[in-house]
Amino acid sequence: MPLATDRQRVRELLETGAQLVEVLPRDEYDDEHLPGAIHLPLKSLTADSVARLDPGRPVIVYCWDAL
Amino acid sequence: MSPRAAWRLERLGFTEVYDYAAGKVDWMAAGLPTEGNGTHPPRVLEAMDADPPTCDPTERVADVVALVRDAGWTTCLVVNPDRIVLGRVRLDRVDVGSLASVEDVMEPGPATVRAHEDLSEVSARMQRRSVDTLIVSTPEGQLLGMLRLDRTPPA
Repeated sequence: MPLATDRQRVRELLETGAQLVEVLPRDEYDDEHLPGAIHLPLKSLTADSVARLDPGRPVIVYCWDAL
Repeated sequence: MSPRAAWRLERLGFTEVYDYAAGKVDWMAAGLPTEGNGTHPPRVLEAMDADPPTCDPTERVADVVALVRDAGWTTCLVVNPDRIVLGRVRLDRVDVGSLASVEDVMEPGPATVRAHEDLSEVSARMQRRSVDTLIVSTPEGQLLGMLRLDRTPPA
Protein backbone atom coordinates (compact mmCIF):
# COMPACT_ATOMS: atom_id res chain seq x y z
CA MET A 1 0.00 0.00 0.00
CA PRO A 2 1.39 3.46 -0.86
CA LEU A 3 2.30 5.49 2.19
CA ALA A 4 1.07 9.01 2.75
CA THR A 5 3.93 11.34 3.49
CA ASP A 6 4.62 14.94 4.29
CA ARG A 7 7.20 17.54 3.39
CA GLN A 8 9.57 16.76 6.22
CA ARG A 9 9.58 13.07 5.42
CA VAL A 10 10.02 13.80 1.73
CA ARG A 11 13.17 15.75 2.50
CA GLU A 12 14.48 12.93 4.64
CA LEU A 13 13.72 10.34 1.98
CA LEU A 14 15.44 12.40 -0.69
CA GLU A 15 18.56 12.61 1.42
CA THR A 16 18.68 8.84 1.54
CA GLY A 17 18.26 8.27 -2.17
CA ALA A 18 14.53 8.28 -2.85
CA GLN A 19 13.31 9.07 -6.35
CA LEU A 20 10.94 11.98 -6.83
CA VAL A 21 8.27 11.83 -9.53
CA GLU A 22 5.97 14.63 -10.68
CA VAL A 23 2.85 13.25 -12.36
CA LEU A 24 1.43 16.52 -13.71
CA PRO A 25 1.30 17.34 -17.44
CA ARG A 26 4.50 18.30 -19.22
CA ASP A 27 3.90 22.07 -19.32
CA GLU A 28 3.40 22.23 -15.58
CA TYR A 29 6.53 20.20 -14.94
CA ASP A 30 8.56 22.32 -17.32
CA ASP A 31 7.34 25.48 -15.68
CA GLU A 32 8.29 24.47 -12.16
CA HIS A 33 9.04 21.26 -10.30
CA LEU A 34 10.70 20.09 -7.13
CA PRO A 35 14.50 19.84 -7.39
CA GLY A 36 15.58 16.63 -9.02
CA ALA A 37 12.07 15.45 -9.84
CA ILE A 38 11.53 13.15 -12.80
CA HIS A 39 8.54 13.75 -15.06
CA LEU A 40 6.18 10.81 -15.45
CA PRO A 41 2.64 12.01 -16.07
CA LEU A 42 -0.16 9.94 -14.65
CA LYS A 43 -1.58 9.18 -18.07
CA SER A 44 1.64 7.60 -19.23
CA LEU A 45 2.52 5.39 -16.29
CA THR A 46 3.30 2.12 -18.05
CA ALA A 47 5.83 -0.63 -17.52
CA ASP A 48 7.93 0.94 -20.26
CA SER A 49 7.79 4.51 -18.99
CA VAL A 50 8.66 3.60 -15.41
CA ALA A 51 11.68 1.60 -16.52
CA ARG A 52 13.76 4.71 -15.91
CA LEU A 53 13.06 4.35 -12.19
CA ASP A 54 15.05 2.08 -9.91
CA PRO A 55 12.60 -0.41 -8.35
CA GLY A 56 15.00 -0.98 -5.51
CA ARG A 57 14.75 2.60 -4.22
CA PRO A 58 11.78 4.41 -2.68
CA VAL A 59 9.64 6.46 -5.03
CA ILE A 60 7.79 9.62 -4.00
CA VAL A 61 5.01 10.87 -6.24
CA TYR A 62 3.41 14.29 -6.11
CA CYS A 63 1.16 16.57 -8.09
CA TRP A 64 -0.08 20.12 -7.46
CA ASP A 65 -1.96 19.71 -4.18
CA ALA A 66 -4.31 17.38 -2.38
CA LEU A 67 -7.51 18.79 -3.93
CA MET B 1 -3.88 12.68 -8.96
CA SER B 2 -0.84 11.58 -6.97
CA PRO B 3 -2.72 8.86 -4.99
CA ARG B 4 -3.68 7.14 -8.24
CA ALA B 5 -0.12 7.44 -9.50
CA ALA B 6 1.16 5.89 -6.29
CA TRP B 7 -1.19 2.94 -6.61
CA ARG B 8 -0.27 2.57 -10.27
CA LEU B 9 3.42 2.42 -9.44
CA GLU B 10 2.75 -0.22 -6.86
CA ARG B 11 0.93 -2.27 -9.48
CA LEU B 12 3.96 -1.88 -11.69
CA GLY B 13 6.16 -3.54 -9.11
CA PHE B 14 7.48 -0.76 -6.91
CA THR B 15 7.45 -1.86 -3.31
CA GLU B 16 8.15 1.39 -1.47
CA VAL B 17 5.95 4.14 -2.85
CA TYR B 18 5.12 7.38 -1.04
CA ASP B 19 2.37 9.81 -1.88
CA TYR B 20 3.21 13.43 -1.13
CA ALA B 21 -0.37 14.54 -1.56
CA ALA B 22 0.14 18.10 -0.37
CA GLY B 23 2.40 18.42 -3.40
CA LYS B 24 4.03 21.31 -5.15
CA VAL B 25 1.92 23.96 -3.45
CA ASP B 26 2.95 22.75 -0.01
CA TRP B 27 6.61 22.70 -1.04
CA MET B 28 6.54 26.23 -2.39
CA ALA B 29 4.48 27.51 0.53
CA ALA B 30 7.30 26.41 2.80
CA GLY B 31 9.70 28.59 0.85
CA LEU B 32 11.67 25.68 -0.53
CA PRO B 33 13.46 25.94 -3.88
CA THR B 34 12.13 24.65 -7.17
CA GLU B 35 13.52 24.09 -10.64
CA GLY B 36 12.08 24.82 -14.05
CA ASN B 37 12.19 27.14 -16.99
CA GLY B 38 8.89 28.89 -16.50
CA THR B 39 8.45 32.48 -15.58
CA HIS B 40 6.11 33.39 -12.82
CA PRO B 41 5.18 36.69 -11.21
CA PRO B 42 7.33 37.74 -8.26
CA ARG B 43 6.42 35.90 -5.09
CA VAL B 44 6.22 36.90 -1.46
CA LEU B 45 9.33 34.84 -0.79
CA GLU B 46 11.40 37.08 -3.01
CA ALA B 47 10.49 40.29 -1.19
CA MET B 48 10.19 39.23 2.43
CA ASP B 49 12.69 40.00 5.14
CA ALA B 50 13.88 36.63 6.35
CA ASP B 51 15.15 37.84 9.69
CA PRO B 52 12.51 39.89 11.50
CA PRO B 53 12.86 40.37 15.27
CA THR B 54 11.40 37.57 17.36
CA CYS B 55 10.92 37.00 21.04
CA ASP B 56 9.84 34.36 23.47
CA PRO B 57 6.46 34.75 25.17
CA THR B 58 8.14 34.81 28.57
CA GLU B 59 10.35 37.82 27.86
CA ARG B 60 9.57 41.19 29.39
CA VAL B 61 8.02 43.80 27.14
CA ALA B 62 10.53 46.50 28.08
CA ASP B 63 13.47 44.27 27.15
CA VAL B 64 11.95 43.31 23.82
CA VAL B 65 11.11 46.87 22.87
CA ALA B 66 14.70 47.99 23.21
CA LEU B 67 15.97 45.20 20.98
CA VAL B 68 13.31 45.72 18.35
CA ARG B 69 13.91 49.46 18.16
CA ASP B 70 17.65 48.99 17.91
CA ALA B 71 17.05 46.70 14.95
CA GLY B 72 14.92 49.33 13.21
CA TRP B 73 11.62 47.54 13.51
CA THR B 74 8.29 48.44 15.06
CA THR B 75 6.96 44.90 15.45
CA CYS B 76 8.25 41.81 17.21
CA LEU B 77 6.99 38.34 16.41
CA VAL B 78 6.36 36.02 19.31
CA VAL B 79 7.51 32.49 18.52
CA ASN B 80 8.04 29.25 20.37
CA PRO B 81 11.32 27.26 20.22
CA ASP B 82 10.16 25.70 16.93
CA ARG B 83 9.59 29.18 15.50
CA ILE B 84 5.86 28.67 15.37
CA VAL B 85 4.23 32.08 15.34
CA LEU B 86 2.21 32.58 18.51
CA GLY B 87 1.55 36.27 18.34
CA ARG B 88 2.78 39.74 17.59
CA VAL B 89 3.75 42.78 19.60
CA ARG B 90 3.43 46.16 17.92
CA LEU B 91 5.41 48.78 19.75
CA ASP B 92 2.82 51.49 19.17
CA ARG B 93 0.17 49.41 20.90
CA VAL B 94 1.89 48.50 24.14
CA ASP B 95 3.32 50.29 27.13
CA VAL B 96 6.92 50.15 26.01
CA GLY B 97 8.23 50.37 29.57
CA SER B 98 6.05 47.57 30.84
CA LEU B 99 7.57 44.83 32.94
CA ALA B 100 4.76 42.50 31.92
CA SER B 101 5.54 39.42 29.90
CA VAL B 102 5.18 39.49 26.15
CA GLU B 103 2.51 36.84 26.39
CA ASP B 104 0.35 39.17 28.47
CA VAL B 105 0.25 41.92 25.86
CA MET B 106 0.76 40.17 22.52
CA GLU B 107 -1.88 39.99 19.82
CA PRO B 108 -2.44 36.25 19.42
CA GLY B 109 -2.97 34.56 16.07
CA PRO B 110 -1.88 37.29 13.65
CA ALA B 111 -2.68 36.79 9.98
CA THR B 112 -0.04 35.09 7.85
CA VAL B 113 0.61 34.59 4.15
CA ARG B 114 2.39 31.83 2.26
CA ALA B 115 5.76 32.30 0.60
CA HIS B 116 4.56 31.27 -2.87
CA GLU B 117 1.73 33.78 -3.08
CA ASP B 118 1.78 36.40 -5.83
CA LEU B 119 3.62 39.42 -4.46
CA SER B 120 1.62 42.03 -6.34
CA GLU B 121 -1.69 40.54 -5.19
CA VAL B 122 -0.56 40.39 -1.57
CA SER B 123 0.85 43.90 -1.79
CA ALA B 124 -2.43 45.22 -3.20
CA ARG B 125 -4.33 43.47 -0.41
CA MET B 126 -2.08 45.10 2.17
CA GLN B 127 -2.71 48.53 0.68
CA ARG B 128 -6.47 48.04 0.58
CA ARG B 129 -6.49 47.00 4.21
CA SER B 130 -3.89 49.54 5.35
CA VAL B 131 -1.61 46.79 6.61
CA ASP B 132 2.06 47.72 6.90
CA THR B 133 3.47 44.26 7.56
CA LEU B 134 2.46 40.66 7.01
CA ILE B 135 3.96 37.55 8.53
CA VAL B 136 5.13 34.87 6.14
CA SER B 137 4.89 31.34 7.51
CA THR B 138 4.84 27.75 6.39
CA PRO B 139 1.47 25.96 6.28
CA GLU B 140 2.33 24.64 9.76
CA GLY B 141 2.76 28.16 11.12
CA GLN B 142 6.53 28.24 11.26
CA LEU B 143 7.98 31.69 10.71
CA LEU B 144 9.71 32.28 7.39
CA GLY B 145 9.87 36.06 7.38
CA MET B 146 8.03 39.33 7.30
CA LEU B 147 6.73 41.25 4.31
CA ARG B 148 6.90 45.01 4.66
CA LEU B 149 4.69 47.11 2.46
CA ASP B 150 7.32 49.84 2.24
CA ARG B 151 9.69 47.30 0.69
CA THR B 152 7.34 45.80 -1.87
CA PRO B 153 6.83 47.13 -5.38
CA PRO B 154 3.77 49.30 -5.97
CA ALA B 155 0.66 47.23 -6.74
